[in-house]
Amino acid sequence: MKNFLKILGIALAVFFGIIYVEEGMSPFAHLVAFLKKTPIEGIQQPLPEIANELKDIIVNHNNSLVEAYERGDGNLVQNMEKGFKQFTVNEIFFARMNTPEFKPRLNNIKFLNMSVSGDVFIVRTKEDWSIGFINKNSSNGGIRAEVIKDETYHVTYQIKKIENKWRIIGFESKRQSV
Amino acid sequence: MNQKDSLFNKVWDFLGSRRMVIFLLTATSIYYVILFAFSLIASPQNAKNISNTYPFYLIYFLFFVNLTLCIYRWIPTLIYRIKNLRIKEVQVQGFVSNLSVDEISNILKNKGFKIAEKNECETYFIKNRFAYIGTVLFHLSLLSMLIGVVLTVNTRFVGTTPPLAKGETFWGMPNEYASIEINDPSRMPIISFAVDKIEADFWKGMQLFTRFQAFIRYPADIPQGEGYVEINTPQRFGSTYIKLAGMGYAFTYHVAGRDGYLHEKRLAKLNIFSPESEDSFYIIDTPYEVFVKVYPDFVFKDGRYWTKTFYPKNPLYYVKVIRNKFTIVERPLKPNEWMDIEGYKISFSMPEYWAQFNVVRDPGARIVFLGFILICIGITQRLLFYRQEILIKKQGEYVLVCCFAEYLQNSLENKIKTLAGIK
Repeated sequence: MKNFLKILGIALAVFFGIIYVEEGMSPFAHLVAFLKKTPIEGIQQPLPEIANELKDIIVNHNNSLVEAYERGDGNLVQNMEKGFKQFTVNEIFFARMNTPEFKPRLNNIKFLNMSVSGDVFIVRTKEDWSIGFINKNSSNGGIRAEVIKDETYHVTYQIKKIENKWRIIGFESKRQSV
Repeated sequence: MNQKDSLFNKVWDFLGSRRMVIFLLTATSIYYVILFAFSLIASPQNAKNISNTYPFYLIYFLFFVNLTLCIYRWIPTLIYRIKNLRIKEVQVQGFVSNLSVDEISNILKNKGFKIAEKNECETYFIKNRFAYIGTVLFHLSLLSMLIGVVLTVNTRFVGTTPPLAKGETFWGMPNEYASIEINDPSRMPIISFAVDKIEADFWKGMQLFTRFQAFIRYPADIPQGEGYVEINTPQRFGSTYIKLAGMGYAFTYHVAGRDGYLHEKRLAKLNIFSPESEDSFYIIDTPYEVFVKVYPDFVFKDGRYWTKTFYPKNPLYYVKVIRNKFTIVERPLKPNEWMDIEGYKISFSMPEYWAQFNVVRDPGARIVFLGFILICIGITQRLLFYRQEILIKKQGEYVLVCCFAEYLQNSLENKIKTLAGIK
């Protein structure tokens, strides 16, 4: 029995030693965190002051987006990560050349919830937009009429601090069905 | 010199001893229980990293050494046991039979016993003389599995092809793979094939495959062989095989520009299969992202689109076109029907399947499989065809019968008594 316990002790010491060297931290940290249900990395809530900043970022972004569509200049869009912004710039240029009637207006924005995962903040909103379309009404002898359509979108923004500035790095948008 | 020899002998004995086995099993069990618990509360990648460190490799190596030494040291015993009769070494009680020696001998011969030794007074019968070889086979199987595992760990290659639809070819080039588990060019197999067609059958039309077959020709440049890959049935090429890794719907889409000319024609392979699953692609040179759902046999039920069966009898696409965050168009679309997107027009062909394959090269797999076969043979031989020995001794007017069996000795005695007419 004594020999067995000796073997057990040596095996445990070697194993936890490996974990300490491999992980660079105490192997018990994970166990303690697990017992306390404190996530080492996981979904958390942002602080109130940061929440307000994020709201401002999104509102400013949408306002600048409206202006960019109005003027046909994608460089006016604010608060986007560089690569992601280029996509929007290209899209607004395309819209100016092909669908000049496409001029969205933001009527209302409601912030649903916020969370943080690692260094990425996730903000969910409900946005009411009015968007101009061309209605090709063939029954009217092919007359093209500009109409305004009201649509509601549920948007999930991913925001991250890059070079000390908040930047939108992506979003997913889903139109609310009528 | 004597001290050195003595130390060497002690180490040699310990490495091949049962105490070593007990130590290794205990240490391995403890490590793996803790590793399992650790992987539940930390990331599995950390647990995997730890399992690849030297103490674990040392344990595997010591298992290898111990097993080899055990087999090597048991061979003289094995030879001795095969050659000699155990009934002479153990004390067994016999019973007196009314039958003659010849009568009992005939009965035993009919039951598969053979004469091992015979003299004037005693006749030794034996059955399953080579039963002990089962033990060696069992241990050799563990050796085989260890060798197979080491070979697999050091030479195994697993790569995933990109989705391939009917008529597409995979050349096996490194940059063609969608993903490779271990990026070691020396492990990459030389393989190429072309997909001829892909077919599927469903149980009662539901989302339950009874068959999913991808018919292939290989090699891709000058096809010399044909085969197919099914769910759970890979296509083998020596120590390499390809198996199904995924499937989904594919279709050709045509995009006509505002000038009315064909702007783009492309095969889209989307990661969709269930009716409500959705995937997207971009129309080239435009900011349009097209989201698609597929209903192979559509029906409009309870205010939403659904599919009656999974056979493409009456297919329908549900298409949503997004630009930036705004939905430009959202509507159902039948195959070959045109849809307008702000002056552009798009249509989709009939849906077909794409398949994704895993290319696996595993030279150690067959050696491990051989180990499993040896285990089965060894255990069967050892437990079912165990050694049985019978001594028939003439003592005056009586015939004494003694039985020995490795297992179930009483059962053997009762059986012989019954055969000898003794109640």
